[in-house]
Amino acid sequence: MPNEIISSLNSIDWAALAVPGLCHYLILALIIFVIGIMIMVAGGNLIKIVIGLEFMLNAICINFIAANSFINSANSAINQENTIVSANSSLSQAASLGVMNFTFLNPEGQVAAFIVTVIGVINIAACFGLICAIYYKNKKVDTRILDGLKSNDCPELEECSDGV
Amino acid sequence: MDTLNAVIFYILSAICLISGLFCLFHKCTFNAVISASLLLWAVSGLYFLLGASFLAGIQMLLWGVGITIIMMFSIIMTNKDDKDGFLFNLKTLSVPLIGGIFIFLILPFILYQFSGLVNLQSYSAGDFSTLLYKNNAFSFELAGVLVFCVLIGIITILTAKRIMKCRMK
Repeated sequence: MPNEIISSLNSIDWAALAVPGLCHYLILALIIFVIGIMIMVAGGNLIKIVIGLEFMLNAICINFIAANSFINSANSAINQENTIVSANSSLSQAASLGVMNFTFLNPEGQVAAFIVTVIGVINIAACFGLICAIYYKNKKVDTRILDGLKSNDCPELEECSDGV
Repeated sequence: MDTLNAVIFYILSAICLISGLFCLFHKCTFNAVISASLLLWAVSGLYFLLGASFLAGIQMLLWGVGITIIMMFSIIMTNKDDKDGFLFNLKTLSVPLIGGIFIFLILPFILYQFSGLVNLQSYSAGDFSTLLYKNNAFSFELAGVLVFCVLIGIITILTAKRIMKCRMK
């Protein structure tokens, strides 16, 4: 059994695996997304919660752009039918010169990432406006003071409250 | 050049992960904002590696500069009673400083691999905008309307107290 494991490990081309591909970018985006979730869950400060949201949105954008670069390439059958680039565009010239590694003809993933970026920036700007409004009222940005909607009639909450 | 791309990818990924973990575990909010800004700049470097130079520029402008400034202003306006204070020492700022210097040094190396840089920029902006306005015009317009509504909402929330006082007078 160990010999089989060793032989299987030896058969893997580690040099080729180290070259960054779609999996590498997806794993990186996943890790950044998880870190964002952890910051949102663990952060007692409202500003850190918004930072966690930023991390999550950036991970989403990395996914879109990586998928667009590696999947939505000129070699795929889908894009050979639908192309928006004219023959005289600079992309065809660059592709003929062999300059780029990624020759995608339909950057829809980038458009999606652009829209996510814009809406994310709007959302975060609104969040910081709300944080300022909360600070003006409560003089703190701690999440534990935001208990206006907390019900005092719930017996489970009374048992677990601990004076918080 | 592929080896250089791989090395730069792994270094940028390490910067992203280290700054993310630093932001997660550090108590001082200001240092967390600096590490988050470093992650946003590293992500823009990843966009350059993926061939999305236009989006990388947008990432740098919107996230790396704009959102960082908004975060810092929000900390300044809401952090008067913070007893921890801003920890401006070499220990806490060493990682963001080193990462920031590295990002600014490697961006020319990333761009250097594109020998037809001018052509690529014109492609990225021209065809990208064509697709945006031609096929995705509705979502783009919707985002604009959303910006407008959010701006009105923020102004209303922040000036509500003043409006109430004026009405009571």
